Amino acid sequence: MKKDLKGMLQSKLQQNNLRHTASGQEVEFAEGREYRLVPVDSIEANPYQPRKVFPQDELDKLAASIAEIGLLEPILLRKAGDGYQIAAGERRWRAHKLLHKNTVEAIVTNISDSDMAVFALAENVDREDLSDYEISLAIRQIEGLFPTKKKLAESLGLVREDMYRYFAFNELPDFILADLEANPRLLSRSAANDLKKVLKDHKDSPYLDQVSAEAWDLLVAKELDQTKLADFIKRKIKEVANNIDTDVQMAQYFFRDGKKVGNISSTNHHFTIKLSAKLLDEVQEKRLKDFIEQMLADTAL
Amino acid sequence: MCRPRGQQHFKGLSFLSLPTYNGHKFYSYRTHMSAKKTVTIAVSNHKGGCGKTTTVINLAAELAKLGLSVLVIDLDPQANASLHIGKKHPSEVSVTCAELLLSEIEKLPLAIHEDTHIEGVSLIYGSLLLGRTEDELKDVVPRPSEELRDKIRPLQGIYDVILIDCPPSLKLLTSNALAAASHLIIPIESGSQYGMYGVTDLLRLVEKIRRINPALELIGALLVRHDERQTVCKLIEGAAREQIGKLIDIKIPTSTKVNQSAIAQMSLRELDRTSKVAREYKRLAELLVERLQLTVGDEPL
Repeated sequence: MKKDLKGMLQSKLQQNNLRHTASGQEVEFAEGREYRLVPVDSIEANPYQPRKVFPQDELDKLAASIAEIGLLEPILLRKAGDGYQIAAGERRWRAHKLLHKNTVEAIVTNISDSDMAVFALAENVDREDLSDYEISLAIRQIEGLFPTKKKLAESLGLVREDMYRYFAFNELPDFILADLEANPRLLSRSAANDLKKVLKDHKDSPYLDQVSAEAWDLLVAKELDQTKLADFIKRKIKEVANNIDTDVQMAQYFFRDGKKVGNISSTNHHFTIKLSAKLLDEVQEKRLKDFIEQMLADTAL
Repeated sequence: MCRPRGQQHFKGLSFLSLPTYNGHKFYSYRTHMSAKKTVTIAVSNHKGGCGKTTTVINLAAELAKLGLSVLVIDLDPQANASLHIGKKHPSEVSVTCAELLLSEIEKLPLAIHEDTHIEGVSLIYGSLLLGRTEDELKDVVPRPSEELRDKIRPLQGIYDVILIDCPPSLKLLTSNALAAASHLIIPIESGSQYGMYGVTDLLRLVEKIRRINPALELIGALLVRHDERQTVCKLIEGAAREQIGKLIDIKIPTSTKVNQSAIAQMSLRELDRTSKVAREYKRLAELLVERLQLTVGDEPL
C-alpha cells in the first residue's frame, strides 16, 4: 500500500507538472518607465513618423529655447536593438543635435509597434502644419498594425467617417496624386472624399477623364476652390453630355506670370475664347472685340 | 444524512445550464427555494503558505460529505485550488473568476463547473489573469470591491456553503471576497511570527470592509501546521487568541498528507480518512454546521 502510494504520487506529480507547463499561460510583465539621460547618437527617429521634412526655422527656434531654459519635457523612447527609437519628441531630439548636445533627457518605456505609430501620428495630427494628405499616407502605413479599421480609428481617436475621408486619397487618379506629392495642401480630406465619390459615380462617363483633368488644372491654377471641385466635375459632365458639342478640344491655354488666365477651345459647334475677368482693361477688350468684328467682316466678303 | 450526496445540489443547479436561461429565472427560482440559507465563507490571510487553499479544499470536501452543496470560488491568481480540484487546467476554462468579475452577470452559469475531483463540490476557477482583472476593476467599475458580491448574489439559496479562496494579498481581490462573504476564517501558520504580523493588517481591512458589508462575521483564526509539542506553537496560540479575539478550537496538525493530496488531486479524506489532519478537517466541518446552523436536508444536523 505504501509503495503503491509512492508510485501513484510519482506519476501524478509528473502528469500535473507536465499539464501545467504545457498550458502555456501568459505571464504579465509591465516593465514600467525609466527616466534617464540617453546619448543623442544612440537614438533613431520613429519609423512611423509621417513627417519627412522639419522646417529649419522652427528647429532653430526650439534649439534656442532649449539652450536657454533647457528641455521642459523629456522625450519618449523605446529600446530598439542596442539603441533607442523615438516614440514622441523627434523635433526636440533634432534640436539637441543642432546644439551638439551629447545626451537628451528621456523616458524609456516599452511601446508596441502600433502604439509607436499612434504616438507619431498623434503628435502630428493636431499640428496644423501636417496636411491631410500626409496624414492619410501615415495612416495607410500603419493600417496593417491593427486588426480592424475600427480598432485603427479608435486608437487614433478618429470617428470612422473621418478615417474613411483620409482613405479617400488612396483612390484618386495618379496625376492628382503626383501633384499632391509636390503640394500636399491642394486637397483636404473632405474634398478628396467628395472627389473620390464623384469619380466613382461617373466612372462610366466618357467625359470623366477630360473633365476631371480640366477641373484639376483649374484647381492647381487656383481658379477653382477645392470645396467646389466635385460639384464642378459633376455639373460639367452633365453639361457636356447634354450638349451636342461632343468633340471638345482644348486648343490652347493662356498664361500670364506662370498663372493660367484663359483658354481657347473648339467643338464642332463653337469656338470659345475664355479669359479671366478684368484681365484686360476696357481699351484692350474693345480692341479684341473690334478685331473679331473685323475678322467676321473679312470672312463675309 | 443518508440522502444521496449531492442530489439537492444538482437539482438546485440544473436550471443554470438551461439554454433559455435569463436573469429572471434566478429570481423566480429563489422565491421557490427561499428557505435555503447560503453561508459564504472567505478564507483569507495575506501571508502566503498559511493553509488557505488546503483549508478551502478540505472543508469543502467534508461539508459535501455531510450532504451540503458546496461551491468553491478560487480568487487566487495562482489558482492552486483550481489546479487541485478542477478537472480542467485553468487556462482551458473560458469563464474563470477573471472573466466573471469583468463581464455581465449572464456569464455566471458558464463560470460554474459542477464536475470536479471532489464529489458534491462545484468550482468557479481561478486564473493567472486575475492579476490583470484586479487592475482593470479599478478602472471600469464604480464600486470595484463589490463586483464579486453582485456577481454571485443569484447563488443565494442555491448552495448551502460558498467557500472563497483568497489570494495572498490585501488588494482588491481580497476586498471583493470580504465584501461578498458572510463569514471569515483566518488560517494562521502556527509557530510563525511572520503569520502573526499580517493578522493586524488583515483585521484593519476587515474593519474597513464592514462599511460596505456590516454583517461580515469573523468565525475565528484557525491554527494550521500546529504542533502541540513546540514552544512557539503554544506561544502563537496564545498571541492569536489575544490579538484576534476568536480562535477556533480545532487545530490543523502538520502532515505530509497535505502535500500528497495536492499531487494526487484528492481531498485529505479521500487520500487517507484516518489521518489526524483529515479528521480535524472533518471536525471543523461539523463545528461549522453546528455553529452556523446549516441544515442538511430538512433537519439541522
